[in-house]
Amino acid sequence: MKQWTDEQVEQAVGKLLRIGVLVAACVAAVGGVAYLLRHGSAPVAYHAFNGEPQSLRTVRGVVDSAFALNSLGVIQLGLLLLIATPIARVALSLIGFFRQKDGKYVVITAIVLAILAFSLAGGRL
Amino acid sequence: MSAFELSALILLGAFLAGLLGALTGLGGGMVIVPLLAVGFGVDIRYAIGASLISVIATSSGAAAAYVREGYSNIRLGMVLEIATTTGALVGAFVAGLVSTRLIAVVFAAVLLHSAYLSSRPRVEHVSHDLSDRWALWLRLHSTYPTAQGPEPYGVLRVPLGFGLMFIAGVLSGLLGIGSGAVKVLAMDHAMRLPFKVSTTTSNFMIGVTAAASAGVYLRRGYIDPGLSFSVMLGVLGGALVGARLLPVVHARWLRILFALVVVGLAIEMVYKAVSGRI
Amino acid sequence: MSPDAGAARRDVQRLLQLGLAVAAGLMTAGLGLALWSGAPDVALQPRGLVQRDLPLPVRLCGLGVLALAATPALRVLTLIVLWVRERDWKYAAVALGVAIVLIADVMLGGR
Repeated sequence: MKQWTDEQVEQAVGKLLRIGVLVAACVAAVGGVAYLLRHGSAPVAYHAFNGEPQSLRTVRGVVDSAFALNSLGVIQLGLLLLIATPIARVALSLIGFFRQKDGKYVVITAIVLAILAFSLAGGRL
Repeated sequence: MSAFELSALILLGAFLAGLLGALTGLGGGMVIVPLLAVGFGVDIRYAIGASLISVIATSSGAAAAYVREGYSNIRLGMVLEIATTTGALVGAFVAGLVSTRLIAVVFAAVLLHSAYLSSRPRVEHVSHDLSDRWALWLRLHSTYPTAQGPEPYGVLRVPLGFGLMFIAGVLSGLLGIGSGAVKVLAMDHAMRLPFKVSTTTSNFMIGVTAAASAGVYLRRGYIDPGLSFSVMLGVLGGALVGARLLPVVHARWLRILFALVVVGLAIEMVYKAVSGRI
Repeated sequence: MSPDAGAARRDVQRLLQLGLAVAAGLMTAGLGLALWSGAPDVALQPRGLVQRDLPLPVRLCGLGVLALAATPALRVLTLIVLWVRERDWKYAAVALGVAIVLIADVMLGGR
C-alpha cells in the first residue's frame, strides 16, 4: 500500500470540496428552477414557523422524495449533498491518517466523524 | 408575495452579501440571518437554517482554493474540530429551547462585537520555536511558506484555544454563522499562529462545524428548501464574483461600509427583539 | 500604552473568558439535564427572554444564552471606560454613540 503524504491528502481534499460544492449547487439549482416553474406564483409565508414535513427532515425521506421527482425533495437532496461534503472531507482525512499509520490522529478524526454522524442521524434531541 | 418574487429578491440580497463578504474577507454569512429575519420577515429559525447552508457552501468553495496553497494546518484543524463540532451540537440543540427573541439579542451582540474586531488591526505574534506540552504531544507545530522559504512555527496555549473553539462552535450552532472572528481570535491570540495559517485553517473548519449543526437543523425541520436554495446560490455566486474582483477593488472603504451595515442591522435586530416582532 | 492599561486590558480579557465559560457551563448543564429527563418538546419554546414557569433545563439554557449575549456587551462597556482613560476619543465616541442608540432602542421597543 503506498503511503500518503500530508500534501497528497490535502490535494485530494481540495478536489473533493470543489466537486462536492459544484454537484450540490447544480442539483439544488435544477430543483429550484422546477419548484419555481411549478409553484412560482403561489404565495409564500415564512414569517410563521411550522417546521418542514417529515419527508424533508431525514436523509431517507429526502432521498425518497427526490427520486419521486418532488421539486422540493430535489432541492433538499442538493442541500444534503452540500452538508455531506465537509463530512466526506473528514472521512478522507481519516483514510489518510490510517494509511500513514498515525494512531493518535485516526482516533481524533474518528471522534469528529462520530459527532457529525450523531448530528445527522442520531439522538432523540 | 409570490414564491417567484421572493426567491428573486432573496437571490439578489444573498448575492450582495456574498460579494461584500468575499471582498472584505469578513464572510457574508453574518448578514444573511439579519437580511432574512429583519428585511424579509422570515422566522429566525428558517433564516438560521438557510444561513448554515450558505456558510457550508462558501467555506468549502474557499477552502478548496486555500488547500492548494498549503497554508492550512490540517492536524490542528482536526483537533480543534472536536471542540467546534461538540459546541455546534450544543448550540443547535439550545437554539430549539430558547425564545427567538433571545437568539436575536445574542445575534445583535455578536454582530456588534464582530464590527469592533474588524475595525482593529490584527497583531501577529508568532512563536517560532516554542510549543506547549499538548502541541508537542499532538505534533501541531509546522511550517508555512514565506518569501525566504518555509518558516517554522510553534503552537501555544492549546487548552485555551480548544475552549474558545467550543464557544465558536456554540455560536455557530446557535446563530447559523461561521463565527470565523472567534476562531481567528482563538488562533491569533491564544495559540499564536501566523495569520495565513489561522485564517485558512479557520476557514477549513467552518464547513465541518456548520455541517454538525446543519444536521440537527435538518432533523428539526428548520431547513426549508424553497428558501435555502436561493440563499445558497446567491451567496455562492457573490463569493465567486467577489474572489475575481478582489485584486481590483479597494477593501478599506468596503470594510467601513460593511461595519456600518453590520451595526445598523444589529440595532434593528435589538429593536425588533425588544418590541417582540421577531 | 501604559503598563497600567496593559494590565487593565488583561483583566478585561479574563472577564471575557470567565463570562464565556459560565455561558458554556450553563448551556451544557441545561442540555445534560434535558437529555437525562427526556428532551423537552420544541413546541414549548418560550416567547419571553427568560421565563420562570418553564422546566429547569430550558431555563438553564436560556440563562446560558443570556450570559453569552452579555459577555460581548460587557466587554464593549469596559472598553469604553478604557478608551476614555487612554484618551482615545475617536473609539470612545463611536462606542458611546452605539450604546446610546441601543439603550434608546430598548426603551422605545419595550413600550
